[in-house]
Amino acid sequence: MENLEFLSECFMVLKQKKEEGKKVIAFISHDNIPEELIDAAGYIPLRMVFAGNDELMDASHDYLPPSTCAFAQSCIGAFSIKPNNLKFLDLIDYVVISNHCVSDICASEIISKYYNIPQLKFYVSYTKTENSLKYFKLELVDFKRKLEELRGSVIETQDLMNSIVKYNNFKRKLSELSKLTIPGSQKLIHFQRAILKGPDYLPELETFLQSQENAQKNEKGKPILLTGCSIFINDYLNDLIEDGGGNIVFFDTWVGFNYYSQIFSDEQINSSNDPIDLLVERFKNNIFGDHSVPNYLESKISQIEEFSINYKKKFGKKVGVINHIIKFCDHMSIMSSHLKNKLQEKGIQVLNLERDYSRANRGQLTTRIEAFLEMM
Amino acid sequence: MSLVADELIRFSSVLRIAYNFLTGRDYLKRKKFREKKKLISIGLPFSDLVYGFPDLIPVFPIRMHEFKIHKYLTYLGSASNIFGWNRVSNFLGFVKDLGIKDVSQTVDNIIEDVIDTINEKYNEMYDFGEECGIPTDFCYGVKSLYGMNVSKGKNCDANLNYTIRCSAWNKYLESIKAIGNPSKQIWIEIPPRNIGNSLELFKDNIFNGIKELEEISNHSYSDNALRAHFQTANQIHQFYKKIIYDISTSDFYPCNPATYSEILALLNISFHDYNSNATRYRDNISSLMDEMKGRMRKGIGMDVSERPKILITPMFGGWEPKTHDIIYELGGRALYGDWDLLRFLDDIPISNRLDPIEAYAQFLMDVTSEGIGCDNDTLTNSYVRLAKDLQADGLVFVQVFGCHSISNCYRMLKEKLRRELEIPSIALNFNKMGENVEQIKTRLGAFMEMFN
Amino acid sequence: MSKCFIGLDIGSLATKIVLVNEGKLVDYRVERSTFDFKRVGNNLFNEILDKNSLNKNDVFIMSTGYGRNTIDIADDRITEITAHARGVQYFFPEAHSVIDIGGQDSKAILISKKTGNVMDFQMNDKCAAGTGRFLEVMAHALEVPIEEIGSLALNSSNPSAISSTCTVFAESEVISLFARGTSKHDIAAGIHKSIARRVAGMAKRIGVAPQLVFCGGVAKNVAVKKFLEEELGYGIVIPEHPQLTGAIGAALIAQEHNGS
Repeated sequence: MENLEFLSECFMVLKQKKEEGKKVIAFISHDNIPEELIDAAGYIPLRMVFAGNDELMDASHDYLPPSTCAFAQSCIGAFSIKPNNLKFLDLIDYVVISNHCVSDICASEIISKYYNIPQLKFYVSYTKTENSLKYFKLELVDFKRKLEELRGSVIETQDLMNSIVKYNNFKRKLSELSKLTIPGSQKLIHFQRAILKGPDYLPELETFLQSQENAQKNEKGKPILLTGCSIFINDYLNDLIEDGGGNIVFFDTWVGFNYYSQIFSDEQINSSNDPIDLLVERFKNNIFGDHSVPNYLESKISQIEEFSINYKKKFGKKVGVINHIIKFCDHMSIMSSHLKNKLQEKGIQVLNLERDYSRANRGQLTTRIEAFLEMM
Repeated sequence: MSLVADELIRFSSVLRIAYNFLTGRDYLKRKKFREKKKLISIGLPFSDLVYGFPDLIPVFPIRMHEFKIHKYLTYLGSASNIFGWNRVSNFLGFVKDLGIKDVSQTVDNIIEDVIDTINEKYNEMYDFGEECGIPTDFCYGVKSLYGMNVSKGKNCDANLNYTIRCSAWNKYLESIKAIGNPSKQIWIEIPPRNIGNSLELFKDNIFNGIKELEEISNHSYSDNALRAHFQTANQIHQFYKKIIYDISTSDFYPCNPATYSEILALLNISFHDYNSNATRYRDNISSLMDEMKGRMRKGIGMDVSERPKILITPMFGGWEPKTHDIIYELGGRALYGDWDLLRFLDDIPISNRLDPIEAYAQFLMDVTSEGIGCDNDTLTNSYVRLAKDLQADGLVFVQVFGCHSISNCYRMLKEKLRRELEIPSIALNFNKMGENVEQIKTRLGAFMEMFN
Repeated sequence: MSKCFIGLDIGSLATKIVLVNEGKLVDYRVERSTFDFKRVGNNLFNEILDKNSLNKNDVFIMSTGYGRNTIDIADDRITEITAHARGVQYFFPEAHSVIDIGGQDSKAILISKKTGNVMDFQMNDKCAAGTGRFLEVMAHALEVPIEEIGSLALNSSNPSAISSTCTVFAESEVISLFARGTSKHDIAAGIHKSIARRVAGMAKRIGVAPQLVFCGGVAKNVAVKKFLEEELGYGIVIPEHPQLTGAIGAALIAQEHNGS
């Protein structure tokens, strides 16, 4: 199914749910947002996982200067222009203001203010000390309370636990995708759609996974580990990589590993009395979230190194790393040279690929990707 | 002969503050090697905790650099140790009044050196930061800080890092370790919002930070020492506020407006670490207050009633220093007040009953909630409040390239200024000092014509 | 002649074609790309075949550069990064790094001493500053032919400081300096220093080191070489045909891949 068709279908589904009385809560911040709480409240969490283009970025310049994250610009532009494939933005009832990064804060505030969408705040601690975890719990409790005010009733503990289990099972299923030896583009489409649609996507995901059980291995191209910023829906980047002779074998990004790896064990779920504490635990264990300081870089390097070693052992090939940096992304760009230097010291080749969503960028990206693949 | 130079001679306290800033390296070397003190690197005005320890010195990293100061300023510094700054300043003024060309030129050079040399060093650090790998899409402030840390960070025993809402800032702090800086990294998280018992948690974070500072210091932490410093800090804040508000809003300045702007800019830069000596800084800033008020009482200075007051903000992340000269030449007077906007000039509540750590937590929570940690709506309210308190006639907003935190809410701000204060504003793009001066002149030319 | 190899480098400003036989440069042509670079490429190809009494079946064509994917006569394609890295080694077998400044982009390439392959690279193709285009705009502003701006700069003893990093603003700055009476020599020197600083900054980020080869059309400018050497702190070398290294590299790689 093409993206356009899929997004139209999402629109219809959302529209129907709204007619049933459900509300849609959108958020830009990728990580640490308790979608289970939103789901338990009977609302629909909607992640902004859409790539931009020239028109969307330009439309944001009424509100933000051009030297802002291209993704944040595109989110604002999406609300400004409401392109045909994103009509469901009209259905949004609330927007979550969260501090994954300061561009996310700004974009969410602008969307809330200028498009008259009420806001819900959910701020996340930057470190992982004991006090930071306590603070995170305060935010969860506050967020829960606000959702309860909106719906006019309490969110029962069991309901929240059920949501957590539902999302947990969904992420487990999603993690099976990464083990398949199929082109990265196929994995990516499912990651993107799953993250957008949530557990409602489970039937389609299971159908696909079943269809791959006896399918022939089909993984051509030079193996690439993608890290940094995610590849969002309607982004051509993966096409460029595959056209150039590469294949992403591991998505070390939020649309990918960083999302589906955040799962609980059965033991954790069964032994927990308070689902809020479970969510705090997950936050604590989320060492790959780029929002946090001060050990994010080290964790990232270790993980990439470990994957490289295991991949080489298993397949006899070296992966190349593409560090995808959306222009003006604070988190990814400042670490880019350190990441590259440290990995190259370990014999892992890295391409820092900085880009925005402009059409003009495409040729430049192609040259860099092809040169990198030629280097490998 | 420069007007500004002429004026600055009359303010011996300005010479002192500038001298202490520029000769920081010698001062810090003495403290570190002779007196065995430890240096703690800070960014933004987060130095207060460090002053709670007698053998720890806070340093804003650029001050560890050698500045190309005129050798005569060094001589002046030495002379001042013997004769006192006031006498030295008077002597300089006397020499200038004599009008002996060569000597007066030398005196001019000394003073102009002070201003330009700080800015040149910032630019040098910016270039160095880029060379060392900081991406080009970061703001001027972070790039130059990065350059400072790569070049001199290893001279410090620790970095005291506070998290704020600016993700570039937080990640820059994280990167200090990655660039191979061996200094200990001490992190204190400021809770993103003041909800529930977050103040308690913050107090605990500060306490943990103090414990880490204790490990570096040879002294234990004492409430009394911190209280004593807070007293000094509050005095600094009060004098600074008086300089900003009492003078800015007056119709008569103790000097020409360009000089006044220059002084405010110097205070802005030196406030980060109080030039590594809070009591000395307090004395200097108190003298400056007295000098200014004294001149105003005697009618020495300039009538500025016809000159519109133009607030330039935010400038602490980087701004074009020639802006205030241009505004002066176009018939205006430029004002700066960033630290008050961000509430760093509030009083830290101190009493014998109140735990000073809790007092500091409360102080920083206020700073965060209306300045460096808040949402854009609240931040723009802070800009508007400052403009209102200064009775500004117009506002120049510095739109720093690559800043996503304090410098990208112009649209919201413009609307509020128009609605609430009915004053015009203009945004000036800034990337690096000295880069677009012609463009700034053109834009300000048009802007200032609105006040004719 | 045994099978020959053609390297066709289609740049945004100039198209270069070389004929290589048994690893030796036999013939070459350079022409402005124009809007219809496909036609230009085809014409050059036919010209070089005619002059060397060859027909299409006698040659293998490797294209590179901006238009490499669009030209239909090519048998294979390779990026200009890989091509330049190989091409400079034709002139300097011990080359460790490359700086290439073309009409609209500049790049720095690190070559592995062991394998001769590309180890790392950095590109500036988003901004005219630090490219040949920057020089063109400034030469126009100073009303000096582009071929003479280099020697004009060399006659300066006090280069002006050009602080703008953007070509458009730098042009304004140049005009402003000239209006204030600054000499053309000093302004020209300031312009060259500015390019050198920018390009050297990009190159240092990937750790370039001697032996560094400077190629591309701008390598013919003596002042850029001089200021680059000052920025880097060591001498750099320029091949006999600095504009052809991409095309030569493409041809040599074609030869190596096709077993000749």
